[in-house]
Amino acid sequence: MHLESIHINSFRNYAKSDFSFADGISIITGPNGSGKTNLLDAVYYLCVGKSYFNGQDGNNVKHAETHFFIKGCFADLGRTDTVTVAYRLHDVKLITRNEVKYEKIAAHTGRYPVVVIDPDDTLLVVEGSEERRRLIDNILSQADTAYLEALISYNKFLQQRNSYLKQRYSQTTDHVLMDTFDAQLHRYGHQLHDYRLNLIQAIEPDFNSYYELLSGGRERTTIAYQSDLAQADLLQLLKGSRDKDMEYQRTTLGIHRDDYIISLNGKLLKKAGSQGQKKTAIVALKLALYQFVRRNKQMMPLLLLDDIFDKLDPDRLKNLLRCIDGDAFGQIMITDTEPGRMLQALETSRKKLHYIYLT
Amino acid sequence: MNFPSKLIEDAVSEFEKLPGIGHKTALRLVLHLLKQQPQQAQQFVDAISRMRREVQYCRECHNISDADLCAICSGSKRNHKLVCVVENIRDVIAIESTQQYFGLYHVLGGVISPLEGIGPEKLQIDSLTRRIEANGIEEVIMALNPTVEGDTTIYYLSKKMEHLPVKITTLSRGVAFGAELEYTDDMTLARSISSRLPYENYLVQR
Ligand SMILES: Nc1ncnc2c1ncn2[C@@H]1O[C@H](COP(=O)(O)OP(=O)(O)O)[C@@H](O)[C@H]1O
Ligand SMILES: [Mg+2]
Ligand SMILES: [Zn+2]
Repeated sequence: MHLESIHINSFRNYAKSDFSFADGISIITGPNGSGKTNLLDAVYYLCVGKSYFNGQDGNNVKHAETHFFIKGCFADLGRTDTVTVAYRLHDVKLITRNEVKYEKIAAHTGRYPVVVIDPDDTLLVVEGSEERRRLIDNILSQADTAYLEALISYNKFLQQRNSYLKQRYSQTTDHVLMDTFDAQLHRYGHQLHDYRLNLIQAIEPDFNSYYELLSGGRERTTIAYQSDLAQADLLQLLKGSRDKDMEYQRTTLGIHRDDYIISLNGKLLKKAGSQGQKKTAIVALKLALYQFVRRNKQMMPLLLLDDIFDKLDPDRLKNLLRCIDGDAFGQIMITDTEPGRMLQALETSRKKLHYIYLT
Repeated sequence: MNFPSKLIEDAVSEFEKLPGIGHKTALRLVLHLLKQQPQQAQQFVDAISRMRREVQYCRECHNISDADLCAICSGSKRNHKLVCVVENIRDVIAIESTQQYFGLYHVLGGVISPLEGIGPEKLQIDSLTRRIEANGIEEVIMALNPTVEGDTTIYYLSKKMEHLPVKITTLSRGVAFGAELEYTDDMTLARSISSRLPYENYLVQR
């Protein structure tokens, strides 16, 4: 699967633009502020139906405009799919595939899988657990729609339960209703837990070998899945914490508290890792997640690399480019401010190269 | 818009309050009524005022009714051992229009959603369990929307009926009849596969 072309209308700095891409590596160059990241985000919109870099749909409408429109053609096994994303300010977003509108945007997720590596990735190491959960949720949602459906359900039941815990002061607790929420959280929570556990086990070997390939070193990287559900059944946990939950007016245990802990030679990356080690580990993690999606979907996800030159030292960068040049990766888009640097770095690439110059 | 008559202005502004009626349509309706014979317009007004005054809610199923007991609950051709639980009156109308259902109904008046301030105590739940017990209901069909709130309500109701000798069933969910598999969203398709049916049931459904 690869994206052949894109048409962008009233999206961020783009008024009306068309681009075509290679099924190999598309190199997008241009000075700061020329719209490199915005172009990658438009591509991401076509794949996942929402923004990667800029959150809310409303932020992505070009200033002084009222709507944006993105259209792309994906080629896969001899057929071409046309995907469109249309958003009008303060209105619903409309996504179509081959002129058929999606009832639920979530149903589009995973059809055209995509993995992004960008400069803000280091946040994954330094920030709280939410950033890491979001990454793993994103990958699992693309790998399996059933995961996304279970996650949406879990979050809604959690919201309802928390809302009930907040209002309860005005009435006596309805324990049958609490049992109801607990049973639903239990059902979806364990499904999600199994998915996450399986992912972490599945990516570990790739994570290790990519780290080695990138750093040229022999450090041992591990990623551990940390969850309330590791030791006990969620139904029992929720029952046990009901009094506490009523006092705190929120659900204090569950998979919404999960975390993923990355270590280097047995030491926490967050605490003991150098800047270089952190960046390398995150890139290795993303490459491993790419392979996870690829195996699950039986297709090559798109790989979007934003500003990697500012991120990695020249050696590691060379190693990364060598890594992704092989058959284990499909279509790639890379951005950089200096065309010369890219040309040189990819001189010996075996993939088909295509240049896009922005001004 | 400036009206030459305060009377017309008042009437227009009442029509405008109705769902789906804009200013222009409201004016058109009022002018139409104005052209009618006075007794014709009076008939219209009387019908609405009688409807509002005299419509009641059925004491058994909480459906709208002309009498204390609705036409469905008092119907002799109906299966009085079968009750279909729905969220609101619109659902009763939808199921009735299929002409395929011959049991009774129970209108809950909503679904459980603490986020919207709707707890079980705001719904017709106690009256349902009482009804099942008192009338020896044999099967309850949960015809609620396949949403988090619908599922919560179904689970809650089934817990409340645990001690009763009643069979609980739910609507099947899946690919719509006449839909093309290729264009069915992944979630619906996945659910249809996991809740697949033996072929004999399929034939019966058709
Ligand atoms: N909603 C918007 N409407 C118009 N221009 C925008 C909007 N959002 C961002 N921009 C412009 O887009 C440019 C940034 O594009 P970006 O893709 O981040 O550049 P690059 O990645 O090449 O440095 C800036 O010039 C900014 O003013
Ligand atoms: Mg940028
Ligand atoms: Zn009735």
